[in-house]
Amino acid sequence: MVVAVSATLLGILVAVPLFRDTRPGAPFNQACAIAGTICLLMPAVFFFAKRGGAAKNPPLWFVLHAICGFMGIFLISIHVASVSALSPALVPLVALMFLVCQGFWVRAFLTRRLSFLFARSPKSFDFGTALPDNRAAIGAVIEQKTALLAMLDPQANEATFSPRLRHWLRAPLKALRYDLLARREAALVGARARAGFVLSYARQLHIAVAAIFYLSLLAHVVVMLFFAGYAAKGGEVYWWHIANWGSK
Amino acid sequence: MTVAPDNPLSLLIDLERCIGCKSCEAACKQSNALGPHTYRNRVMWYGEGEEQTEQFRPALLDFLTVTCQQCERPACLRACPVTPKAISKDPITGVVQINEDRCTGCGECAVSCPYGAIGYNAEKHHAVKCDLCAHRRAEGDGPACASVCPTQAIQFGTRNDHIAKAKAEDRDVLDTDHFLQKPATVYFKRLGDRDKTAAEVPNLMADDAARANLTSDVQHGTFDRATREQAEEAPAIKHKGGCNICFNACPITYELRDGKVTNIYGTKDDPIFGGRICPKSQMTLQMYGNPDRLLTPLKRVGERGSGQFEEISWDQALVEIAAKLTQVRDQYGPEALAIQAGSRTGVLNIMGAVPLFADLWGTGNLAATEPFCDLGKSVSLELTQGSTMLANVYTPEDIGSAGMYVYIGDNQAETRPVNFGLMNNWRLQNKAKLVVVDPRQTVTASKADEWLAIRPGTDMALGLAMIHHILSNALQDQHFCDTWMEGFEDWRDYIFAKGYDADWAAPITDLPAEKIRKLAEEIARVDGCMIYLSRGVNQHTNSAQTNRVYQFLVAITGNYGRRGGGYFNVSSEPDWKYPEVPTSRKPQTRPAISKNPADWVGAMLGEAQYPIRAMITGNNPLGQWPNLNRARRAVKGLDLVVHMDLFRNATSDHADYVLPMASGIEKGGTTRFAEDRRIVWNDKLIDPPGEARSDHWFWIELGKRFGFDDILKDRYKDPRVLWDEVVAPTTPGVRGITTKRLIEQPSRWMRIPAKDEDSIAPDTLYLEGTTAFDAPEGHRFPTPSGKLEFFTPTLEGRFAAMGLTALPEFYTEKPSAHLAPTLRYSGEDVVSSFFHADTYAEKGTLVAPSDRPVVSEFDTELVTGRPPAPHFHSWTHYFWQAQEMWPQLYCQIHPKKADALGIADGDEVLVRTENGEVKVRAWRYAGIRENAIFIPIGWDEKQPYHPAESVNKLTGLALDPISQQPNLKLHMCNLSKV
Repeated sequence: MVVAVSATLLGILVAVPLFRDTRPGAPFNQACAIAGTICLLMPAVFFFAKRGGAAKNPPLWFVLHAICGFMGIFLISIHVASVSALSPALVPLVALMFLVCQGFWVRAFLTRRLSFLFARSPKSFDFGTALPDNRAAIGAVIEQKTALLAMLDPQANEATFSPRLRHWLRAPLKALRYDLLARREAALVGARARAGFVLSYARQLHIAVAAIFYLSLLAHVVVMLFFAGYAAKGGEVYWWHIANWGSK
Repeated sequence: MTVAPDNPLSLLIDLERCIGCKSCEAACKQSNALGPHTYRNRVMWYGEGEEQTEQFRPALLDFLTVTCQQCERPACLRACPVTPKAISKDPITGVVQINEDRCTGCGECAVSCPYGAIGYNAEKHHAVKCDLCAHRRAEGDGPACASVCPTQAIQFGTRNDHIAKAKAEDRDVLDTDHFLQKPATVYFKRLGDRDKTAAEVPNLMADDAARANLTSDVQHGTFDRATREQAEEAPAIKHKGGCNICFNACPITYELRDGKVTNIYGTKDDPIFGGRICPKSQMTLQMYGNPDRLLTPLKRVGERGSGQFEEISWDQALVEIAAKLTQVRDQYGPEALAIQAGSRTGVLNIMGAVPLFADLWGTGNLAATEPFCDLGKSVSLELTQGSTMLANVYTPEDIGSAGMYVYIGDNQAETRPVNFGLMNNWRLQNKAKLVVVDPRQTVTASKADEWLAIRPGTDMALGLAMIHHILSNALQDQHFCDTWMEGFEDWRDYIFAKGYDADWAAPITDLPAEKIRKLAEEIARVDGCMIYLSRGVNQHTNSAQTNRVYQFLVAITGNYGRRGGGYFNVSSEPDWKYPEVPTSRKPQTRPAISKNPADWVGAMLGEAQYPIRAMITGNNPLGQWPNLNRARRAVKGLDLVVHMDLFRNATSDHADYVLPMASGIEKGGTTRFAEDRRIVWNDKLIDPPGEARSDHWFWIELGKRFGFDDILKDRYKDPRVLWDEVVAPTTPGVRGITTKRLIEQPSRWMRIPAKDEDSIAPDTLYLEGTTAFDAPEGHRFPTPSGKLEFFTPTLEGRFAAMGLTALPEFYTEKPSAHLAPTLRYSGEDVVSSFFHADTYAEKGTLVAPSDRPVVSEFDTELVTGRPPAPHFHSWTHYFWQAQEMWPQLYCQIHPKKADALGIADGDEVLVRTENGEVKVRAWRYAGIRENAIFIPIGWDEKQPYHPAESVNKLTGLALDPISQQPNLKLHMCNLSKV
């Protein structure tokens, strides 16, 4: 991890001054953007592979997602080396920077705190201030989950079930309702609250920002391809190199 | 055991039995190759809320073992985002397992578990959790934690079996199903459980930052998964032996693979211990192959104390040491060499190689750690019962049948957890009462029916007052008094004449007179009372006398020489005799300077009858000796200091030569004697690291340089030869304990006494109608009279020579001079009659109480003692796991005292006495006398993980004139927040 981060940082520090005088849409910069984007699709593939059952070795996929993230940001840094003005195109860039930095921080530092959670829930054993008695409410949620599960996945056991990718694809509304009930139960149980906001929600935040990144990246590509004039703001549309191939 | 989906496998955790020793943590980590901060189970300590300060209230301390609850609806499993999930639940056994090869380390399971029972490996980035030791279950075994638990607080079975057990034993089960996860783990509540809403974990235990220096770098051997997996390719060979750390000698089984120790567990088929061991035994895994071990002899190159050394060969070290010793002998005489062996050094050396060398060399300045631990007991046992062998043993018929257990200054739960576990189970089973007398609520006291927070140094007054009450009310066993006690009337009349009654003792002991009377009556009336004393009594200037008083109490209540009743004071040694050296080979020597090595300091500073100029020592005297600053100044001025040890410590830095030593199964030999007269044999199973050698190898090699090898023979380097030909034949009580017999025993242990190879030691000694070992026929006790001797003209003469009386005249420590007589040293040294070798001791005289308390800036009582079970003196400070359990030096301080000084839990505090100062972390704890603090021993400033100054910088040196045991339990100090 340290090697990957160091190499990425070094690469960016070298690349940005080197390509400062180029244009984002120049052939090399654009090729880097395309290659970077392909790299950055890997985390999304990891996301789905992990949930869809396609990943035989999820930890290896995790490592690939991290490496591709580092490679991706390095390549994108070449693409954006000369950018100095604010524009909507910076949204995916900012999101990407956040994802890489936060992802590294979570893995390298925050997870240490996960190990410190062990044996820190004394209230569950009647030590310390008493827990609110949520049994009835939790029981009601479990009943609702059980009833819903009979429709969502009749073969599944509520005790061990949580919606998988296939549930989300086949019955998204039921999966969503089930997921909301599960969140309701978790809130009543209170374990996440006791673990602390940062520890409990750092991963969710990572996924949410990743979604913003992919959507804004998609928007950027669509605008640059199909609304080039708008993107050029009246200036030269110089980045349609593929369309120009062979024109001479 | 019938396992079914509705009757899952699970653990039973009995909160009444749990003593927070963390043996289960040690077992879990060694079994599952877990490093620092990675847990599958963990034991947390909880102190009672600070408003709960009612005096004498027991159970201010609780322990909670947290492990996976093996829920029927596991929140962790549902939270796992991986498909298929990285967490699974066995449909038959109900065990919830993590597949670490599928875990991406997202931590969702950890934050979802409401019990905080999912661990996380932050180095390898995956979750870990208890699977009830699946790898052990696959081999027909059970979880490691349950196999070692010293108190059987953790048991393995099915949930239904645990619930049935609760019903059968009328125990309440803790309701942990607040979240409807249907946990399978069953917790038995404490007896008389109470509201624990104000319970808090001490900052010391919860401070993760303090443990931040424990990273994967500290792991080695079996705790590193890759190393372990590689090792597991080789077949496991199991060897039985005993733990060589403390004096409990617990039977253990070493598992070796490819010549390396990979696991250390208790010996499961041992008829008494059944595999129970404390964490220390297991953590010796971190001693074998520890990267911090000394590997080669070192020679000082910098200034003494600078810690600068160069590596040299053994030959050079031995030649140079011999040359310097010769110079010292030529200039000052042979007695100018002092030798301190220690607990690590082992019996083979303390009773074999070292005294042989010392005798041949011509010095009586020879000591082990006994003068700090229990010499007062040994001396008083020899005086009273004529032998140092204690009567009772840990069997259901003997100690297990007692109707009452009284612990006075003995924190057995933390110092000998396995024996406490045996006792605790018996007392719960028999509904026997447990009373603990101690200035602080130790773990032992936290389990007691009654805790009496006595003023340190006044246990003798309590004993006298109880005797007075028993005799005043004719509650004594008159038959025993008439038949088996010499001097009963003398003591009785003296105690009455002095008026040592409960009302007299109340202000001295700080205990209500009514409590004293009640305890006396209970002891007298119950059918069998075991009275345990230990360091809390021994480490005072009235050590020998206090022990004698309790022997008297035990005797008059008919508890001497019976099953289920007795006087106990760890450990139980045979009546040792040093190996004989022909007179022609023994130089004429002057008496030893002192029996207590800390008292050699005067001679080192040139303030005694003759100088001590050289010292060869094991262990860590420069962390251990009281009045440490003075001791260090003295040692710095010596001509030669040789330190022999496993690791570098504070003593090493003051040495000219530091020698790498072997321990345990690296050298073979016996353990020390346990309190129930057991000794265990260890074979040499592995080679020591680097050029480390056994201690006896060193003494034999050094002896060769002086021509001693015709007596200190080269063949004694074989530990079996040394035991069989030197140590065992010398002492009658162990003559029949040959290594051949020891090795034939299923758990490699035997009890003493055994006079020949056909003898088997009796269980309980001194029973009525029996003749004591090695005593004339009809002598129930091996004294000249055959009775317990409390007062005879001979005894009186011996005491009078030291300025005292054989009658039980009460005196205490100087800080209590306004309450009772105290000791004044006369300045006159005489040769004591209380030791086997001629030894100088300073006479004392008693002075009357002063009119008013001494007004001083030092206004707080300082009590020192052993830290919790994972630590033992200095050597566990080199084991990372002991550091993870208890990292920092601390002081327990009462909340009221802390409030007055503005000290919060976890604050750094400066503690000062007239001898020095140390910095410690505060642990606010309501279970201590309001004007007392407690600081544990064992830390020093040269330790690798959490160095701290030794508490002995605070202590002074005042010795019992009879036993030369020092006061380590009461000094006056003050403290302030740093």
